[in-house]
Amino acid sequence: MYKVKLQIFEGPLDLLLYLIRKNELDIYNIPIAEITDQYIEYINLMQSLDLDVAGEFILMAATLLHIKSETMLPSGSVDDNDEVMLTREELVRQLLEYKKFKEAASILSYKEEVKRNLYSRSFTDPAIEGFELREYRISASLFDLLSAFHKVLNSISEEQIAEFDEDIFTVEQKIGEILQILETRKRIEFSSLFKDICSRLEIIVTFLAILELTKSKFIVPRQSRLFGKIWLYRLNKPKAVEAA
Amino acid sequence: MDTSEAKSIIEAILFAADRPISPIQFAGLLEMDVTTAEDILLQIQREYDETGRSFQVIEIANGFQICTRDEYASWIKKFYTIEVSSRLSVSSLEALAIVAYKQPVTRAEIEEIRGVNSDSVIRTLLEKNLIRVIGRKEALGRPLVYGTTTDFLIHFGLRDLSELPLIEEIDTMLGKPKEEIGSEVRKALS
Repeated sequence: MYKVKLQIFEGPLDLLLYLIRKNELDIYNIPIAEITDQYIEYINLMQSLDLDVAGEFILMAATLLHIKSETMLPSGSVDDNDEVMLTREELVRQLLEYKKFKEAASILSYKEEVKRNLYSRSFTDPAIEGFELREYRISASLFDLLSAFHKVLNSISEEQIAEFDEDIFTVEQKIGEILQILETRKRIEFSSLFKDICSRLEIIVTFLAILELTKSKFIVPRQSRLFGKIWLYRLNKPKAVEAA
Repeated sequence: MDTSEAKSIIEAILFAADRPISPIQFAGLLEMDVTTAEDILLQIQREYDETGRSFQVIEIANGFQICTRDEYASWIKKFYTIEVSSRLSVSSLEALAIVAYKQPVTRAEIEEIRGVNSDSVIRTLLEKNLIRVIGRKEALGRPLVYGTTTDFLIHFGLRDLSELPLIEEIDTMLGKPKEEIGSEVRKALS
């Protein structure tokens, strides 16, 4: 049977905030019994309308019932070691945190609306775009990268190399730095990434970062002729890594 | 090269560009100080404002770009029959707000705040190039961490991230009952 996937509430927190607003309640002092009943009523309503009720909604219902039972029983009679369930304080803290970002989202929405009414050129003359790609269409292999790396290592004079004991450079950091550079430009020359580097460790880490980015298809190495200069091109859709 | 020539060159490039260009880029091209390039850009911006052109120079994503003024939006939409559906969903906006303020942030952290699974919304945002992977967190399982992109700044017309209001100030800044805002957003996006 066809199931309507109508999203009325973003999640259980959104529904709770709605109920709090609707009843003009104080977020710091929620009457748990009342809100629990209303919450469950809504879940039932959503289910009877055959809307897709995500598991998170059900979990929140259980949490609310748990908090409600705690408030109704004498203290200590409910097992407090149950770490799956939120306490009342945790729930309030979560609601407040979520509310902040919901409001931040509405500010973004406003800014989006304003920006949508400003139009700018949305494409460049294809001649400008295509020029570099025509010239640098040979993709560089792993061996090309390795030999370029070898050249970089050799070009560094001994006195330039300062060794550090600590592990201060990480591949992740370098990946971040390279992606940062490629955000504003389409390509970067391989050896220029090693400019100003004076530790052997950092050179190696940088190279590993390049390999990682190539492997995960964030960048593609190209050259204009065999054994020529290698340029690292940014690929436009860096979505492959998410799945990995 | 005198200033007026530099100004014409900068204007020509702005005119042809499909993305914001930073004063640093102009300074590199024209071999001048970054502040000089910036002054020229602001001068062009002022000229367009003062002479009432239908286009303007805006500061966006750490750069400058020429775009039309909002009073002509309806005519442009009419002429190009632009689709209305290009706005982001509420869940996308929520997740984006969290990434913008808390970056570098993991998927689990986003989900904790939103209280719902955010797998697909993160994938959508990655596909739209509004967020990107900026590394891994040194924690159990070394999860990926996300941050916003230049396209994010462009999409929302922000000069840089500092242009977003402080998260602590949001409550007071909006200055109206939360119900109104919530329903407005919901209405606007439904």
